[in-house]
Amino acid sequence: MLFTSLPFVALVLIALFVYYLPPMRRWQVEVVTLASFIFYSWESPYLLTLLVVSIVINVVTSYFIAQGNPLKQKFWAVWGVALNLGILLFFKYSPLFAKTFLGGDHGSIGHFLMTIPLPIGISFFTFQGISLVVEVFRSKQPNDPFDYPDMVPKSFMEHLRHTMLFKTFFPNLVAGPIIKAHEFYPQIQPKLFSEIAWQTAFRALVVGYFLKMVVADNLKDSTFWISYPFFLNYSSFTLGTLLFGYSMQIFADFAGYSLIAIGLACLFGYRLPANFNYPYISQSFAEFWRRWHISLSTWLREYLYLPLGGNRKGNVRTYFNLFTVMFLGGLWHGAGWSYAVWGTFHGLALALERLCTGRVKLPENPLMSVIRALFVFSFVTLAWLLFKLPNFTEVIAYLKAMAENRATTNPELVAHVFFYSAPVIAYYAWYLAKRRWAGISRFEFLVFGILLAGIILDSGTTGAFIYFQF
Amino acid sequence: MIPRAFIVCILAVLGWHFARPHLPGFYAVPGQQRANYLRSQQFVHDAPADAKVICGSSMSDRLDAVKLGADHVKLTFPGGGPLTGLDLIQKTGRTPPVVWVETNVILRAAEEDLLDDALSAWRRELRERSPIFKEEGRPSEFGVGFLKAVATKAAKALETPKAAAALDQDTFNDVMKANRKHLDRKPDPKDLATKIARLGTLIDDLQTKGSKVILFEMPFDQSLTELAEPTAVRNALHERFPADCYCWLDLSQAEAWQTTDGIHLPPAEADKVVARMLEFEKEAR
Repeated sequence: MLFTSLPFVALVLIALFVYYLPPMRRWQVEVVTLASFIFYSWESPYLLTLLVVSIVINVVTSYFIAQGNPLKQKFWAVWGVALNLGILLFFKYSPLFAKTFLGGDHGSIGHFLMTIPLPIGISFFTFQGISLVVEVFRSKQPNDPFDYPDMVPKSFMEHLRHTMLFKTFFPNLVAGPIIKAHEFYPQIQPKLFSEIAWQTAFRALVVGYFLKMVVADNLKDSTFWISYPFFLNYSSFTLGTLLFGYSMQIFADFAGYSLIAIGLACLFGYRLPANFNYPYISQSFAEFWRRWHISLSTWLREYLYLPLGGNRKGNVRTYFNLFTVMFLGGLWHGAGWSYAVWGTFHGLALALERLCTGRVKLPENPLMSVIRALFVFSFVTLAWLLFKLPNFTEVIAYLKAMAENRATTNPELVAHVFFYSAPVIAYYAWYLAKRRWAGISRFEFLVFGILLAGIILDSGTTGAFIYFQF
Repeated sequence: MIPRAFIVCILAVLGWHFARPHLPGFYAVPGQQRANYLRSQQFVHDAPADAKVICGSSMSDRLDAVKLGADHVKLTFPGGGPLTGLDLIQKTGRTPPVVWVETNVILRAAEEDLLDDALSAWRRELRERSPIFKEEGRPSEFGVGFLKAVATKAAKALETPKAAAALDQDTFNDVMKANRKHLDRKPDPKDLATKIARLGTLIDDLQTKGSKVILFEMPFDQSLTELAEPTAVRNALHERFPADCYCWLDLSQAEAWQTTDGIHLPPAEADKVVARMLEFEKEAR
């Protein structure tokens, strides 16, 4: 079910109505869980099976870590993480494994593995499951440096209720933000209608829906042409513009989704972590990853980079850790080697940046800041090509076509891309202007009114969110 | 802040509703998908009931509307196929006197989102009440139109003499290679049977209601016509719609047709097809 579809709006309205009915207060967890199951199974009910299996694994392992034999805590934690990873590896990476090592002849194991369907949102709910198991385990260790709250109640059924909600919470179920267990469990309490943060919800929903429905859904009609062999018909300028448009689209699509998720969660009384913080104004690659898909970056940092040693074990190990995290982070985005290369590119950029920090002194002035931001943006935008095109030969063909300028410029496409990219630029400009002139915030009602009118008058044709595939 | 934002929104929508009819024509369809939506909406709201209709894909979209004449309406959808157009005719309950069905791209299912947009009752009602809810009423059309004019100027300045030439041989070869790879795959028999069955239902329904249905295959590059997919589709179609029971216009694939990319005809070649179609209509009358 898409956030932009009418059945979804109906589901949210009904769920909200029932959720806040006073007699239903003690059943609020069940109401949202049921709505989440409907949301997830709307188009493919069989997908629920895997989600339920994943819930059972996480409930059982985390419960036994917290309430079982203390000597077996590690055993349950290892099993919990291994089973979560096993599910992810099997359903997400079997086709890649088969394609790379086995081939896909009819009747072969390779063919069977290649036909395994990819359950929507698996990467997100699996990572949340791992966070639960790891955090419950860490919270039971003596001298726990993380100081996690107690997340597992004595009653198994109570833990089941809470974990079902944590794993299935529909606003962030299929495309994040990835919320960690210690951020979510303490929020599971009865909610009151009067406590809804309307302003936060309204802002997040309006901006989110505008970015998705007006910007991303319209840009997708243009960036469709970044597909082989269509792009061969365009000039370097058109190809560059299309790539710029894709960069805007992927931001609007994913940031839009995250904002809608945050706004929806807010309506149900929950806080989800911010996922984007104006990443395209980053002046370094490290800063970009602190601003882009923040919930994934922090997840990888806490559960992979730091356990690997982070930057505490010397330079060589630090670079190795960076590459490993970025390579796996890339592969997390999609079961294709181009995603791994995309991650490695970013790993390389981070490593080079780290190497240069302190060695190369750049002047600190506004012009230099703009140049640095443009450099980071250009690199990031170029790397998105690996996201858009599924194989390397097509990526190379695109770059070659850009270099050779073999065809003519398409003014219509160029105009379309710039027109629908403009709101993203305005979104950033508004943020920067607010930082400089706080007074302009009093005109926000005008901005939000126009955004609402834009949604009504200029929404594009419905398209699935790009990050659903991950 | 929230109530004031809603007031601004209502004022903006109303303002656009009243301003729109007085604004100069600055219309530019932003992209292929929007053009398809525009075409389907125009068919639902504006097309005369007795218009002859051409249902097809981007291949028959190359047929010049002016040369076809004002009594023809094109439901040719780039990225789609004839099933979308036929579905649109059926669901609007229309009975055009003549319906041309391009048979090249029948494996593409009817585009449900487009049909829903064009046919849903509340959208139709809104579009009847205000032009701002039609495709050409979107505020962005004006913005894109303006930028397009600027971009056209800039494009001319940017192009090198080499780039201004038509698709070069290297690019053409690359495109042909991709076409060959794509068309040399046998279609899934189950999918083909489903699509042909659907096509049959829609065509038989039209014929029963009194429309004259004419099937035709748009010509394309001779080296591609006998590849696995077009051959399988052609055979299945002729089996389901034999020439002694259904009306076919034979555009003779044996002729060497010029194409821009192996699949689509350039204007001069498309005009030849239009001439044959009009001639065929006259003979059939």
